[in-house]
Amino acid sequence: MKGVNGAFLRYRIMAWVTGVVLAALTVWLIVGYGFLDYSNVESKPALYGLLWMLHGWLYVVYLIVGVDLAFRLRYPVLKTLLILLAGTVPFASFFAEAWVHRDLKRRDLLASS
Amino acid sequence: MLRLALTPRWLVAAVVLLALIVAAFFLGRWQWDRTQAILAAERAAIAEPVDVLQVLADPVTDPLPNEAIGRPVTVTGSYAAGRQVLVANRALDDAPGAWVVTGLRTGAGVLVPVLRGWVPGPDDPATAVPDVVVTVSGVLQPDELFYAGAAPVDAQIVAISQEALAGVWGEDVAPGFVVLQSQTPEAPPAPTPVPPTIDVADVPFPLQNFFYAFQWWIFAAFGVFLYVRWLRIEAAKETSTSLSE
Repeated sequence: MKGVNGAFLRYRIMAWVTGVVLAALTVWLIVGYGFLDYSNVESKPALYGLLWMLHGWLYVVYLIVGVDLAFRLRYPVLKTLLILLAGTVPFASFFAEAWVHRDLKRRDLLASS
Repeated sequence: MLRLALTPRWLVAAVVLLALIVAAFFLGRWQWDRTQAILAAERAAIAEPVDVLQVLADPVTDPLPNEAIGRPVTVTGSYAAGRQVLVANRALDDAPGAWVVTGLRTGAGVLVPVLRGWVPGPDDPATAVPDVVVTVSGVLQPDELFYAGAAPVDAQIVAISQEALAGVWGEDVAPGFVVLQSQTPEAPPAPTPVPPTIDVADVPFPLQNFFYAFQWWIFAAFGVFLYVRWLRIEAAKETSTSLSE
């Protein structure tokens, strides 16, 4: 299993970055549409739209590093798809990352550092 | 590999993949159409003339907001006596002459500079300030930036700017100026209207929908990649097991 540690680190970073951005956006969406009248375009700040755009591209990177990791670990199709989809569901990428982390520990694939 | 792809399990996978590709294609197309629809709606919204006071900043003497530049606007009020100035050395179709800028006082008391048009010379009868309440339709322009600091020569200014007009007229004026395209009622003799320098206001591009369109298509390509990769892995596995038997 070559390069598993590097692939896991890359996946880990993306899972957290994508997850944090998506979680923040989810909270922002609820507050915005619930209390700040975001259905009126005028009251929507530019940063809100920019962050959604950012999440779109972060997810593309998440897909790439996720699939790289899944192939290195020879994950079955279903597990791979679940990990990949976790980047679109709020908070799911944190659980996916923890799931992979546990699996790597159990298989004793983590570098000792 | 082809034999493996034709087994029932992989055929089902291929059907699922095809459905996903079709779905992603249409979702991308939907976002693409939305991009165009949003652009068209934004452009239509700014092509509709609005009262100039709606697009000026608050207070009105603050610099012109970017989205106000090039906006079709209307101004209603009466031309203020003594609030007219000529802009020197402005040709129309190569004929030398000057531009006539007159302050239009709105009901709210704001003095809005209106570029009424071109006259061949300062003594032209069209330079008379009409004494009627008018509605001017025109295009809002930003201050002219060249020679902005130039002093008036023979009571004619060199470039139109809020500062120059306020200096000549001795009172605050709105920033920018409205290039008159038509006026109701007309009050002949009038200067010849000139075309606006900037006649298309800018609209924000719906980048988010534009990106989403591409991302859906990227996902479709990604699905194909995954299918092929998994098929190859399984095909390689089968070959190695059959070899070891």
